[in-house]
Amino acid sequence: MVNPHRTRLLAAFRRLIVLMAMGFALLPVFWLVSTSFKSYEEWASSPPHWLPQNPTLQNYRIVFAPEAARQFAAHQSGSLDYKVSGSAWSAFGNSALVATAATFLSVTFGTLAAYGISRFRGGGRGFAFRLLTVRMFPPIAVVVPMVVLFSLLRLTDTHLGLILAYTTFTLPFSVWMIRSFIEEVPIDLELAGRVHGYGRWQVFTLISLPLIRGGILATSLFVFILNWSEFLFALVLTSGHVVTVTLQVANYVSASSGKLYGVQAAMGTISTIPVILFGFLIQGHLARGLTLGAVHG
Amino acid sequence: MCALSINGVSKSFGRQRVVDDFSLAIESGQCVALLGPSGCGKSTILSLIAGFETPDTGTIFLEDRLLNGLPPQERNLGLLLQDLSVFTRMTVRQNLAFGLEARGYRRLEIARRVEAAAARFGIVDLLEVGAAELNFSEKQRIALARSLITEPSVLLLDEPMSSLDAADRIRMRSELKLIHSELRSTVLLVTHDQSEALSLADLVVVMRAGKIEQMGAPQAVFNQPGNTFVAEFLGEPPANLFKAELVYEGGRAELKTASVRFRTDRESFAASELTVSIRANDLKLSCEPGPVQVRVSDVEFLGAEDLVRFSLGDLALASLTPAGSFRAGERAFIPLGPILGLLLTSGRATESTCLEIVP
Amino acid sequence: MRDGTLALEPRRQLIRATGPVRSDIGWGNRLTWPAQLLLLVFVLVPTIVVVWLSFTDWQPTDRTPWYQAGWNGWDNFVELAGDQRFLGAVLRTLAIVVVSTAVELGLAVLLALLFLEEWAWKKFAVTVLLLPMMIVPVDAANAFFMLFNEHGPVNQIIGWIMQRPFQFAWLANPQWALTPILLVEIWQWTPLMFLLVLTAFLGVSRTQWRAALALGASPFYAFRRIILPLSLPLLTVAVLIRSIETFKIFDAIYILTRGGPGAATESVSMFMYNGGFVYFRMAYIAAAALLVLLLVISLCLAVQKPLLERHG
Repeated sequence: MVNPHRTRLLAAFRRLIVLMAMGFALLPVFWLVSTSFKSYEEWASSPPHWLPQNPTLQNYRIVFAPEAARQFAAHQSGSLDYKVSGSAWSAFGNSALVATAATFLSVTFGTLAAYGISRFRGGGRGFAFRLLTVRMFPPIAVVVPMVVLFSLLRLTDTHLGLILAYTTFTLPFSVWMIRSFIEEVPIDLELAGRVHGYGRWQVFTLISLPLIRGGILATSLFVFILNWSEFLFALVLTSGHVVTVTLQVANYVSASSGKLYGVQAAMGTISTIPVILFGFLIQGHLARGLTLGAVHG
Repeated sequence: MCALSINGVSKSFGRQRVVDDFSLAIESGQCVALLGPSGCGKSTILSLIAGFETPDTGTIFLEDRLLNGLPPQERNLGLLLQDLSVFTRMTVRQNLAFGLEARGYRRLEIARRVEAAAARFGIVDLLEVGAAELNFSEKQRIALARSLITEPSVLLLDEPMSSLDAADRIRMRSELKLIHSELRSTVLLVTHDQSEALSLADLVVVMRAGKIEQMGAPQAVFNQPGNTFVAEFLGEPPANLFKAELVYEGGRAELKTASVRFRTDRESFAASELTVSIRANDLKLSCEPGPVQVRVSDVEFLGAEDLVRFSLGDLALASLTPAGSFRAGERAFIPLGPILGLLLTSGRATESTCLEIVP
Repeated sequence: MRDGTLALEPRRQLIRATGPVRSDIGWGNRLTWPAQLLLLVFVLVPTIVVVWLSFTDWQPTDRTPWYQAGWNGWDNFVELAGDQRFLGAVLRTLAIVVVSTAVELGLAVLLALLFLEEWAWKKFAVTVLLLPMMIVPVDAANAFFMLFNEHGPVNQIIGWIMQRPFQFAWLANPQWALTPILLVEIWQWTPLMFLLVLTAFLGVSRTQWRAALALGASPFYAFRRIILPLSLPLLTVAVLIRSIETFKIFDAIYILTRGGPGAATESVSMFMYNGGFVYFRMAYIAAAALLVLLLVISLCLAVQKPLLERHG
């Protein structure tokens, strides 16, 4: 006879573990957001303050108006030197431009390639797997010669350069994700279209594409998240002109600007919002994306 | 002492009451069929007995053990689910041995029982085969053997034959009958197929919407349906049912529909509004001209017989006749003479009667 | 077509319904050209350049163009073989992969077990638990930087537990600096493993589970013998993919320690970054890159079979 007390105890225990896990999941995010509202004295105070005592928007102001930063420096006593290079606005603009363009290209090329691979064994037998191996390279390994290549093609520190690099390295995701969506569409529908006299391209655009619309959207959001969060290529392939959000965040804790933790937290909070948003929009497809289509969930 | 006793069990899912105050006592060695249309709650009752759902009210006793609150693994029941749920990643032998291994039997004993079960069910040469590679009826034998190998006190079967083709179904039926008589096991069978229930069970429990409509031996339930639902549900093809009014004509009782009158040999009646049930095979048609003429609307070929649908006045009736006797659109005749029928009033016992059509 | 008859050409394709006709293959190939072009220019060419460079002694500070760099033969490779820092980085990275993947998997399994049944605020809990995956990795690293600050909350909590003030400079300590780094990885990617493990567990047929219980198996026994074996393929894919991604770890290390103190937290990626962009020994790093590429490719070939199985 099962003890009702025992079941209740187990349920409470389970609730406790889940709550602990949730706390663990939330803590860093909470700290980031909390710090972003802290005033200068509290950034690295000892003991640390979990909640800002005098919440302020100062950090956000500094992020969006470096002028305010200089005024702030003048206001403070000497030891900090607020020379933050670049403004957040241009960082957001750069990231938005690069991420969007790269996403568009990646998903477009990826869809075409995925269709070719899936329905026609295009690219030869190993093409799909060659794409996978691209994902397995540590990007840094390719980056060294890419720097060379970029300077040859005059792509260093340009938007186009980053866009092309991002497109290339998110292609595996695009292709494999879209491929898994294509394979959920029964080929009979396309064959029916052919029987009705439609050409291959028409079948693709009029029959297949509409059916995988949702999948293309999910893949686009996913690839956008990857592009927006990218750091390494942005770090190495640019030299100050094209600054993405991920680089800009690093700018606030550096030799030239001192340790502007609060401002960094503010920038971090804002820059991560699109990712959170899109991430939850495609929550159902995350497993599929991050396993390159292997897991449909 | 009864093997399984269900008392006042109710279960709701959300707002829907799936099982409503259900009580049933099953004797040891009895084969009981829960018969009813989909959604009547019969599978839920099985879940409740097996322990996968908890009843909102009521108790279930296995002999004298209270099952309420006991997890499924401690109930020692045999369970055969509709999709068989044979363990696909194991061999047949591992499937058979599973229940014994889970309960900690010794290896020698397990091997002995597995061999015996395999011999009994004719699957000895399948023992080392992976379970996923078998066809449906082989899987069913495995599932059955697997559930009986632990010698459970009650065997629960959920629609065991709904996925089988006709030939396999007949074979399985005799197989089950054999097992039941051999092992003298108590069996609770859930099905929507009335011929299955009638042929296998000692006790048929007809269910609808979570409640018991009628319960009794197969012959009793078939010949004396307690209400229109049971009368309609049992019998293939469905019986002819129509409402009739009791009138007295010239001192004799007659049953009257809008355009047809039946003389009846009964003298007392439960009510003045009755439902008449006539089985299709009790209603005969003939080509020989007579006073009662009908128009054949449709003929359905059933193999040895035809199901002939026709209209008699305002009544749409059906009759089972030897194949090929009639064609759609033709005229036919009902020979004069007594016709076996049932008079139903809801809640009261059915009364059988001999009817004669008044031309 | 219009008049109801089937034109000859589509008919031919119908007959070969399971495979493309030759003309179709050509068209299919053409669809992949944009992707192939990008791969050619930005992957294949750099790879060839890497191979070339690895046999030279080029350093960008030399002011000689890369294609005129001096030939170095096998020297780079010989040096790498004896380079403790390089070997250390490789071993350390492998250790990071093993530890973080194991921990992620373990936590994921524990959590997934709690989510198999229905309970009240389950959906909300899942949403919160997935949050770490949706934080920009750089921001996550910064958050952990602040958390593990000498005066930060982590030290504060440890101080509470130990009942005495605790001010430990995690990121400056060669033995312990890897811990925050590992924690960032684990924090960010356990949710993914959790998602995959849960998917695997829920994908197991409910009726097989019930049949097992009815046969007398306790939930533990049924888990061990039914759920686990059926989940194994998916779990294997999850672990493989996660391992490969973890091997490339860079962002967190760059933000938290740059590979320091000294080279105590240098991963393979960090080693190559430092070598190439701090010390500017690009040719040397190219050789290292080549070795790593070979390592990755051989691992790749080894795992291609299970992956192929999964994709059918």
